[in-house]
Amino acid sequence: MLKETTRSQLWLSAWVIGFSVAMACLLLGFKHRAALDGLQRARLLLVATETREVVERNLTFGISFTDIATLPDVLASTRSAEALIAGIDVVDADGKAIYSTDPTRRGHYIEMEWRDVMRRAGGEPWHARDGADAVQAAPIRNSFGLTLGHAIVRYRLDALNAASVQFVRNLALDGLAVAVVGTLALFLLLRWVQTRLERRLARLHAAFEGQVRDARPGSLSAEAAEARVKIDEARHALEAAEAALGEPAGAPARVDAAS
Amino acid sequence: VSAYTASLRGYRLAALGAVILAVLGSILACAALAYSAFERELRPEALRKAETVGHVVDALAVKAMRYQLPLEKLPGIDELFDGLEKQNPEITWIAILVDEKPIFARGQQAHARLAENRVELPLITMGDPAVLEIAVDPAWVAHLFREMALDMGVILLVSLVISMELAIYLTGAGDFRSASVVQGALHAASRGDFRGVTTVAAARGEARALLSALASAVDTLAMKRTLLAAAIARRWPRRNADPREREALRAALARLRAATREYVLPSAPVPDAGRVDASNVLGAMRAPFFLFLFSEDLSRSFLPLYAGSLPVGPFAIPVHLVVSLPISIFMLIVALSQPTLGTWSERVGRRRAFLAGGLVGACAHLASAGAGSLSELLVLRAIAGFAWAVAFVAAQGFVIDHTDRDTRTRGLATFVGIIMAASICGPPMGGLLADGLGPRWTFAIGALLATGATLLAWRDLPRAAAAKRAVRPVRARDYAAALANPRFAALLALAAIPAKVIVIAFCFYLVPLYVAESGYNAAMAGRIIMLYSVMMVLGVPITTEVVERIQRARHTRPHALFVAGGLVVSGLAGLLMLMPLGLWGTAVLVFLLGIAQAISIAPQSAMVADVSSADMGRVGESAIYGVYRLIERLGNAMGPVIAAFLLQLAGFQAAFAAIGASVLLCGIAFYAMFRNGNAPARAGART
Repeated sequence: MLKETTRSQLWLSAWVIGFSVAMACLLLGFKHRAALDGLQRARLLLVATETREVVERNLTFGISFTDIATLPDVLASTRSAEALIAGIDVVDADGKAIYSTDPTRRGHYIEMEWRDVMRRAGGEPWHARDGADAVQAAPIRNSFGLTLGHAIVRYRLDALNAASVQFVRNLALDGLAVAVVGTLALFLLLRWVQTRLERRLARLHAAFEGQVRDARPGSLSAEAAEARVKIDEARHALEAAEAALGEPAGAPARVDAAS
Repeated sequence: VSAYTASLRGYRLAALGAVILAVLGSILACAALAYSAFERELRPEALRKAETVGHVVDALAVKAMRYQLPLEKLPGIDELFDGLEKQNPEITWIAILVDEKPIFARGQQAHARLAENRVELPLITMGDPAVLEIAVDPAWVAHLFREMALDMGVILLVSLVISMELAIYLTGAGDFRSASVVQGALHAASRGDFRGVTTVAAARGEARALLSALASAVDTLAMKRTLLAAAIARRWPRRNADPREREALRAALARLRAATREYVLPSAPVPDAGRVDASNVLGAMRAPFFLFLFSEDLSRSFLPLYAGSLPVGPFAIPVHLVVSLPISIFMLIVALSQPTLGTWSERVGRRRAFLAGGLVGACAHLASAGAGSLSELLVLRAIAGFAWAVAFVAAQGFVIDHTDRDTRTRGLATFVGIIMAASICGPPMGGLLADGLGPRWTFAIGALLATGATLLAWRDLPRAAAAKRAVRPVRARDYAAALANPRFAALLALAAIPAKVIVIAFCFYLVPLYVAESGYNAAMAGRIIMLYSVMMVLGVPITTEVVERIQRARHTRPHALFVAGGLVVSGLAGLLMLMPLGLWGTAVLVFLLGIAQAISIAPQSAMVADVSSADMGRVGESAIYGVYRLIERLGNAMGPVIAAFLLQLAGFQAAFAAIGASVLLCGIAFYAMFRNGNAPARAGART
């Protein structure tokens, strides 16, 4: 059975290292996902921006937003060029799909959660997610700056989720190994400090018992030796008083619980 | 620091160094292991993004081809490259090469040397074949890790605070406690002060051996002195009958008196100093209380933003007021419920009160995680505020129940220390978690921690905590009597309320919103808010020491100067935001605010007793301090509302500056009013 001090030090080491490793792994996991997500979103925003520019170019030529004949082909070729993209929609300001790479979506409103985010975006590029589906969008404006609609790139988060889970799984295993090694290292360091403290206390004990002759003045060892001297002097003074009285000297010593 | 207190402190520092070393090593090992995975998984994704960027340039080249324009004369390329470089910081080289010579280029060509670090796209041109070359910064992943260094530093700091709390929870103060008692005992004995010698019954190893030997020797002295005194007393009636007896008694008494003059002789066995020192009087309450506060502090860095993200419903409330409401409601409930909770907690027992607070708090956090609207969140924050007040009063009562006149100040200082430790750990950790998991999950984790606090309290807190004395609740007439004192009212109006308004308005409301407005995340807000608590933890003991020294040396009470100084520094911190310092300005503001509060908080509390000394007998000290705390906490509740109003009216800079200027003026007015009122130091006055 482990001694109480050893057990406490082991628990302390395990908790402290466990906490810091867990937090570091969490942070790394968050950062990994955020970086991967950021890269994907930035890439898809470029695609949405390109689509928007195609639409806006057509608008400047006087073509109506609903009559851009070349747009479906552009959308289809853009979608096929990028494996991550699940589909591209061009929607009006209310969120109704005017063009889409998925014919069944044309004429229908996009998902309600996405429309909420779209309304709150205030004419800025926006991003929304709904379960494993996500969208990255760029607003389409006419030459007067009026928002006519949005170019929306739909994509699945499966790849991102799978990459994150795999990363976290690997990191968790690495973290576990680091935590075990770190715990042992901290435990050994604490033991080392404790051993040094024990030695120092043993030296103080020796100084108190008068076994150390060369204690540095002002040091704790010197104080320990001085404490013994003072105790002896006080005892002699009391014994002198006893002797003057003719009473027998001596008294029962304290019973040490350790002995 | 005297030599004797310093001599064994090295071991404590060595243990702290060991914890720092091991935690730092573990964090760095995790980062190193993750680094290669980042490189392996993120670089291909960055190159794919670079390829998409390439398609944008390619589209421009196609357009040039359509207009039969030579690539070299294509307009707008420089502006396009500038924009791409700005929007994609990981791309450090982008160039159009003809015959391997760049005709348009941005960035550092050296980064394109490695094939696995660049993408190449052929461009359709009117003339010679051209290639678009884009390179990703080879040190891009290293940059990501450098950005994480601050977060890692926060984890290190929080781990250290938690390890100290854990060390106390798991071992009391363990061997370091025994070593500290050894030091004190040897120091006392070496001066001949044998009554100053103490021991630790639970000491182990060499400390136990040394303390036993020392105690045994001192106990022998105590026994000899007792026996001698008894012998003298027994033989004293016979002194007149026998001249030799009289002479012996006279000689013995003279020697005993001489010994008493020379040494502080013990009259009783060496007392046990206890497993833990007076600074740890919270004992079993410490860990649950810390955990409970930690669970509440998690939401500090993101609560305004979370409130702002919830639907307001049919109420037409300005957005800045919306985000201030959860904090104000929380503070208001805390302020209003505390005066009545003290007596209730005493009646039902500290254990049951804390368990109730912990349980209600855990439920409130869990429900906050699922709040569907602002009104729901407000109700839940009010309940959380009530739970916080219940737990706070129970813990404070526990300290009061387990301390006496001599140890109460130190006990309450430890109590404040735990509040500060939790406020160091909570906001940055909450910010980190909110960035990664979202506010709702962070609230759920808070609920888990509060449940943990409740379970710890259920296991560790003593069941029967008998009330020491009945405390009379503060009544309305006490408020009237206390506030009728103009100096007390001025202390509240010019110092207590402004100090609280500025702290809560800045740290809990304006700073999180300003940081988010500047484009940074909740973790950054948490790190900045943490500075306040760090400065408080470091500054309060120093201020207390300095005030006591001045008091001893000059026999005056410099408290008014410290209070005014703190208010002036707080005010200047707010005015600092008028300078174009950006996020650094916020960090310096919070740093200065921490120093300012550390300067003023303890002297301000002590001044309450000074200015109300005439009312103490009539109204009672508890009632005076009850009124003071209530009004002070109402300042807490007012802070976010005032800040929200100013923010709505005039924007961030004006809100910071207006509050700062008002507090600065309060500081000046306070000093003008109290500068001549420094009464001579009175024994027992609170510092």
